[in-house]
Amino acid sequence: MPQCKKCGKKGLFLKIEGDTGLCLACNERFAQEGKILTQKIIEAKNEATASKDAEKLVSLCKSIEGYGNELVALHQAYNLQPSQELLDLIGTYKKMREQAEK
Amino acid sequence: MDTKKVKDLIIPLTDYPHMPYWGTLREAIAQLNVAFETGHHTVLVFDEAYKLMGMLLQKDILKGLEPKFAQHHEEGVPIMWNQLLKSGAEKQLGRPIKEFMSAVTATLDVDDNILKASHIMVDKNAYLLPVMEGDKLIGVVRMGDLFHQITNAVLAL
Ligand SMILES: [Zn+2]
Repeated sequence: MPQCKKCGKKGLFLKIEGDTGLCLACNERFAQEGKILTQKIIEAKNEATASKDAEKLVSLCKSIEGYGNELVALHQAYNLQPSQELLDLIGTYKKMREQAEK
Repeated sequence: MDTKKVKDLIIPLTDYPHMPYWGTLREAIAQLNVAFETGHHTVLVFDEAYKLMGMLLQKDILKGLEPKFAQHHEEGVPIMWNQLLKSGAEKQLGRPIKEFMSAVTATLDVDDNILKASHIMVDKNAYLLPVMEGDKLIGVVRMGDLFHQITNAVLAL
């Protein structure tokens, strides 16, 4: 019987999203919260790519790491596996910040 | 010839302009204009879980700016080319890039030979392909970089 990975709801006719294993309501909540964090990550990332100021860059790296970790935590709260892209992004900007701080 | 691998030409995802799929065509154009000097002509498109969903290429944007009726040009429908941008581009600019992006049709393996990579790009008509290491996405490769490597190797034969 289909069962939601987050809220545990189950039922013969419960619709589960194939790629997340969540019921439609949980999936929608995850998507709403994920959208906000992804938007912030991407804005900071694009700004970091264009940034030429070292201090500004460190602060943007911190933002990316922070929002990235929030998105990882959101995945965990919904029993989802974060994407490799997300983990790599956090790693890249962590390294970049450490370099810039030296 | 010397068998360079895809891994020698890989560009990290973070080097590319990023956008979420709900961003607009107008925002994508602004992104690419900022990135123009870097030689990156593609926007990588991500979903709400920060997973790569697709790519928005220059040709996707140009196609997106055309009103729908322009696609009937090949069927003999007369088009007022001078007026084309006025007839709908403004509306298109506000639409989400999800509607215009190209799906990822193939991927390369980090250990693929560059000639194999070139074959796949030509076959799939793709100018940029994601590179995988196992099931892990580690970057992208551009046709321009493959072209440069292959043609120089050919001339040196
Ligand atoms: Zn649920």
